[in-house]
Amino acid sequence: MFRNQYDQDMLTWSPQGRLHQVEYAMEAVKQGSTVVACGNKKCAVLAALKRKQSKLSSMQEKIFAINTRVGVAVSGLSTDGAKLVKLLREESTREEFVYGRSACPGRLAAAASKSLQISMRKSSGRPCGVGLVLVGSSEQLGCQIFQTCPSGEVHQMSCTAIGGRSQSARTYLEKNMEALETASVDEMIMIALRALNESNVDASDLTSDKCEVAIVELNTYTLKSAAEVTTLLTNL
Amino acid sequence: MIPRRVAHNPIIGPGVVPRGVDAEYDAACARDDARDGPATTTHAPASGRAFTLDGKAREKAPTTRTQTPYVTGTSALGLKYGDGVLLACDTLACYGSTKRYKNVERVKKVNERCAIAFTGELSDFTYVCNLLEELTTEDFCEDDGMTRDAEEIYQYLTRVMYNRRNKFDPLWNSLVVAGLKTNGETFLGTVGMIGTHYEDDHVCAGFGNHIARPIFREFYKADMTEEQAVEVMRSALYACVMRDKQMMNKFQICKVTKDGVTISEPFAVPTEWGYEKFYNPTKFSETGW
Repeated sequence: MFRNQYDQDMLTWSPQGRLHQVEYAMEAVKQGSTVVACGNKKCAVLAALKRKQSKLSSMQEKIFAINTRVGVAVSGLSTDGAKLVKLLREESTREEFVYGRSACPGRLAAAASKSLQISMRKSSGRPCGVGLVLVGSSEQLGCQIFQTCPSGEVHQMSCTAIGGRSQSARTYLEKNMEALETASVDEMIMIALRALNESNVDASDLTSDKCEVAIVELNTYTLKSAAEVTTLLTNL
Repeated sequence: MIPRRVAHNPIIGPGVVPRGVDAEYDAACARDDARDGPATTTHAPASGRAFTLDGKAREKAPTTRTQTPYVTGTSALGLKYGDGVLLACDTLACYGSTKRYKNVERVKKVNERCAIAFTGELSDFTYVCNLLEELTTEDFCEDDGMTRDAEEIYQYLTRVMYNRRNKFDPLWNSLVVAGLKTNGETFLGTVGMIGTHYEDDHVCAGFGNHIARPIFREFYKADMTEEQAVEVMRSALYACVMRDKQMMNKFQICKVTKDGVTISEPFAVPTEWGYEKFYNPTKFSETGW
């Protein structure tokens, strides 16, 4: 199983200048289910495939509200994800208390990045095996999408897909890049769902209990209910 | 050296316990007494002992010098008009009643869309300015294009003031925060020294609250032009300088609009001291002397 002798802890570089532990953590993100996000200045959509541990268990939550304007979807180790969601919510509450306003998505992404990066520099512990896609809006900068990975890198994206089999979703999004600029909310939802559908290789089609959709418009974040998702999926 | 007990307040320090007054203390000092022998000079306290200052006690005692203002500015006035906000105050910082520093800029530009003015302790205001400077630097370092608008600065300052009040060491300032919100609307609010805060179309901090506010109430109109607003402001400043002995006839007006923050050169308003009642102020007063 070992790739080589340089992957035992976070403090050892490989001679090629790589930190293998971090790269393994990034592999963990690919084990998670697909998350798709796309948007423009006016609106952004977050869509995710849900999985269940076994036939008997409930569906795993994928999308979490951070505050009234920001939501985040996680892919990878869900418990690491839960830790980061907690951190983001705390940070958001702090900002709201001190400045009287919801934290803007960029600041929250930066907060997550700082936390992820710290775990990269310590021999104790391990990097978080989770990728986040953070979607939100602020009055000043409009709607934004951010993507983090276990190395602590943060990128602002116009559209993105992470998690298992996300490549096909990304390919779809790349083909439809131009449509994003001018898309309305409804069109944007459709683009996100079609991209998500590309990554759905299960025998059955997408259903409302297999996927979650959240939308962000100027200063509002809403998670679509199962009934709404069903209606959306009929138009796919 | 044995830490010695002293006669009075250990923080104030020097105090002498005469021999024979405190038996317990005499016993504790017996060895030193044997070594030093009886007092030899007439100038030394003949029956007393040398003392030590209790440094530990001084460290433990709370600092109280920050709990009274020393160098203070008086009123600060704020007024909204059509498409901006005005802030005004004089350029004086008093040492008690002494007009000690006559060239102090009592308005601070926080960023391109927010400025604050203060009343109260000058050094505490400097501290507040440092905090805001740090905040701006932090925003700059994040490098995400976000800056704080007036509303957020206002909220932040209420948090700071209330937090210090809770430490029983308030910042001795009332602040007037003026600027623009992110959506472009004008914003004007005031924060008191214990964190009390409110927004209004016109606000005053300090003594000006009693003198200038009535003038604002009478003449304020939501759609005033800048010239009209400056005129109202000048009459309010005139009223203040005539009645407030801590006020000086040298003012600055700061303007915040969507084009940014501008702080005017200092100017004076014409004053009139030739009123009859000023010559003989007690003439019509029954209780005067």
